[in-house]
Amino acid sequence: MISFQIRRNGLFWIILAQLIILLTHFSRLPFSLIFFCLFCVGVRTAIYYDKIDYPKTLIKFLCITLGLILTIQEYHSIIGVEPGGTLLIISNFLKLIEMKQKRDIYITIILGYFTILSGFLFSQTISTALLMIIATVIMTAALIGVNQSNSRFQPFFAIRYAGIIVLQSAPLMLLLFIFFPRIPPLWNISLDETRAQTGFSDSISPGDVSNLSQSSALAFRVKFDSPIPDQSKLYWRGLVLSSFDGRSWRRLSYSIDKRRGNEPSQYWENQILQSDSEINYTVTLQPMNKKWLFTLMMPSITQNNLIFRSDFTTITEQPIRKLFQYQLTSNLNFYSSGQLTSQQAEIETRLPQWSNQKSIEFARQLYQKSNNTADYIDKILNHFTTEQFYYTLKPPFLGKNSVDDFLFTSKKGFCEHYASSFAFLMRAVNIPARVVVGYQGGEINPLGDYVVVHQYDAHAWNEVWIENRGWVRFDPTAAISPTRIEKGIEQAVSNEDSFLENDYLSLSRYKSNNLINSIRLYLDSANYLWNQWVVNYNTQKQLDFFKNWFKGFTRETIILLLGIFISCTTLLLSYFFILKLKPKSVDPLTRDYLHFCKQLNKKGLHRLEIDTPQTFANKIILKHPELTDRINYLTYLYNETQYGNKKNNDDKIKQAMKRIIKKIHKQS
Amino acid sequence: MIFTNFLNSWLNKRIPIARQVTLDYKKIFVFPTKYGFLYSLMLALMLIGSINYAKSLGYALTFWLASIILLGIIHTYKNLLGLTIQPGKQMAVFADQEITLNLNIIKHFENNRHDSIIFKYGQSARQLSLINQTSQQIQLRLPAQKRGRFQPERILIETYYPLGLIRAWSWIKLDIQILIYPAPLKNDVLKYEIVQQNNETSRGQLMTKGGDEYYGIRDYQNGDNLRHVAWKNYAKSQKLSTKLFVNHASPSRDIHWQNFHDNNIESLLSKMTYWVIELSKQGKEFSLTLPDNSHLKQGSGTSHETSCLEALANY
Repeated sequence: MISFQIRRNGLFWIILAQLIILLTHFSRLPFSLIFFCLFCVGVRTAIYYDKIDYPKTLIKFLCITLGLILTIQEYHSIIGVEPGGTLLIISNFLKLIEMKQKRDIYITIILGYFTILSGFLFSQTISTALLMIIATVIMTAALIGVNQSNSRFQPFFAIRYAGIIVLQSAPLMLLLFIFFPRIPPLWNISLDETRAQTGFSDSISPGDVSNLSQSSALAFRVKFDSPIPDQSKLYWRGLVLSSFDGRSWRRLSYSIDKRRGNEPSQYWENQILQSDSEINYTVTLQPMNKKWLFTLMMPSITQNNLIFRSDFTTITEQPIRKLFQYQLTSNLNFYSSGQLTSQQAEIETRLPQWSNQKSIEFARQLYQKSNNTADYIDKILNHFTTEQFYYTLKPPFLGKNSVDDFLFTSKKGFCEHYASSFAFLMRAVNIPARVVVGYQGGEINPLGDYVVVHQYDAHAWNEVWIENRGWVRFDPTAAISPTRIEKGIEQAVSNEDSFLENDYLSLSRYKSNNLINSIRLYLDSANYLWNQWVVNYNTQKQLDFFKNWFKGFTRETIILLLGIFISCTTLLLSYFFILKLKPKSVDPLTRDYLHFCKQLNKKGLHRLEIDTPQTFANKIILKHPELTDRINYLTYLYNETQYGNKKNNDDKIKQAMKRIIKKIHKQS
Repeated sequence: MIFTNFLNSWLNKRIPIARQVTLDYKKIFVFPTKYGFLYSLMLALMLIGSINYAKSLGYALTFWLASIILLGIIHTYKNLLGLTIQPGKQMAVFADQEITLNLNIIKHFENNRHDSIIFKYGQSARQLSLINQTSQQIQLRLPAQKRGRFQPERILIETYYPLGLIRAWSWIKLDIQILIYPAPLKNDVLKYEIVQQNNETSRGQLMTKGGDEYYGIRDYQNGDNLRHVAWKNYAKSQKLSTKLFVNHASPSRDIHWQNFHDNNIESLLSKMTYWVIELSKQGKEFSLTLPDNSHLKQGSGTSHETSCLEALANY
């Protein structure tokens, strides 16, 4: 047995595929591990060029230990998805070094496929998918390269063939993807996809929302069943903050009166909903590792796994750690005939003692001058517009008495400053008020007819309790900067160039460029469809898909159709397999000779079935006596080779035939 | 044993012996290799992973890889499909020589690439790639066989190309008869006997026409021509001797089995073979008489040699 030599045909592609896989994990891995992997590639290349020998057991052991140490140093563990995925990559590259026999190659390739799969645990974007497809093609090329014949080095043939096989298998893959039943997880695995995700925490201090507004990250996408409402009506409520400590607003730590998706509730019955302004929409929320969802006021019906709270926010039972989709019905027009309980009223007017005294004083004076609550609110909003207040993404830092500082000193702030002080001024005169945070507006993507809400759409506003109307929304920001509400943040701060100041790579930053903007919209639309139909393809989607396609079919018809489809495919395939082959009987020499006869036939020299080469030769000579020598020579060679003992005259015979044909051709 | 017999009879029915074989669906078998099974195990684990982590792209990759191995079945099958194997010209060999089996391989589908196809017979293996050519000849070396007609067993044709995960193979039996001549065994039986035979049967011819080369002397026997008596020798030793001559031009000889006085038929034939080759090499005319007294007429040249060797091989 000849010792097996790993050919560059296979090796080249294996290394290339490994590097591409490494690229997909690049952002996740620490630099030390990336260098470690590249080092392995270097060692393998050196082995190939005979610069060094295969590593000994001790060195292999040291390499494995080093890989383990680097992993533990980074993740402080070797158990879990992240360190596990990293170890898989390391083992893949270590295997590269010690790959010696055919078996090792297959193991390396199979490890490689696993590594490709593990990449999807961390990212399922279009770009990851594309890189993974490329890696798969190259891996397959490596398989082909390993199995190609020794004699030739044809790397590009291998990759082309691999591409063909991968493309040919795509339709089958699609069928399986669509029709294979989606099964719930076999055992529970918690998987955290929310590394460094931006989003709201459950409290807000001055500066929090403006920080969030620096991010162009996606928050969620919304698809409306009806026409998309005005941008100024899109207040996506996330959290209701009712507890103020002088600087920060917090959510109440206890929750009152929960109800599940469709259960009726005492509290809700006081809400009078206008059914003609009902809108239905579907939200696809990016994971933020939080329980709260974003809804338009007043959410009424939803799936059963969601919980409505008495402050009209909606939450999930578990923090959302992966792309999450929910459907809601909201009523934009509503009012409440109910009353606040005294306990609720107390909570919603509570203020910390001994802080922001100046503001309390200011509020009381203003309230005395007002006729009623509505007048008071008007006066405050007026105060914001008439005094020199600025709307800015770069508010100055505020001290302990943040409301005092803002109202009387800096007068520059972002929405949370206005919302916070507005609520404070309400509570100062015992009007129940609270701060609501969430997102405002959103960008309509005309390609997909859906709304995209980014982190920079983050917003804070207020709700004030008004008798017989219930909680009414007031947005002081709208008074300072109406542009913010009507056109969005970018227009509102356009004069100070602070929109996405540090986010150079974000395409949103270059909205003013038409080309970039349309590219951005296309990309987002593609991402939306991708998330909708690929990443989020689950049991529900599968059922919807069947319902849409097989509308009005009974179970029997579906089974019948499926049966017909399967048998047709099988028949087509078996036709290819059973295809009868006419044997190509003749040996190369005879075939050449018959070809020669055919060519002469065109020149009017017919060879009958019974003619031997000699008799046919005589016929030719009769017509072309000048070729006697050549034809005799050919016939002699042919007879000797075919029936005599001469061998390997095929080339000579071919040449002789060619010359005769040429001569005859020239004459005619 | 029973299984092997059953397998053989099944194979004989499915792929019967033929002048030439074209590989089609009936003759090609397909099965995963051990790496194919390893790959399938990988697919199963991947599916479990995708289900558990509920990763859509995990499902997609798993299904894609599964489709690739399924497609691999067709591609591996296609790598053998339509190959016609026919025997090339078979050269007869001597019994102690290894046999060269010439096979012509012709492809049916001109555009098909056939790569890394292995032809195996016992320990002997050859790899074939038919990429741009439409046909090619390969030579399988088989171990030496006994004298007689040799019909090769089934030839294994297999391929793992392109993915190495699937093996496609066929066992074909070609109707090939290879003649195995007896191995020549050197001896000097005829060195002397041939001349004596000539002396006895055609002495006159030898005296008048031939006698162009002095061969040696032997004791005088009654009836020997006095003109051939070695008189000089007689003067020295007072004993009558007869001079012997060999005619190299065209004396006719018979390689007769009785002259070899050998009871072992194989070694007898081997010895006769030696002389057939030897005399042909010297360009002499000879005839051949086999132990069953069948007689090949006198002749010379390669074709005569071949027919003599064939007769010896077929005996």
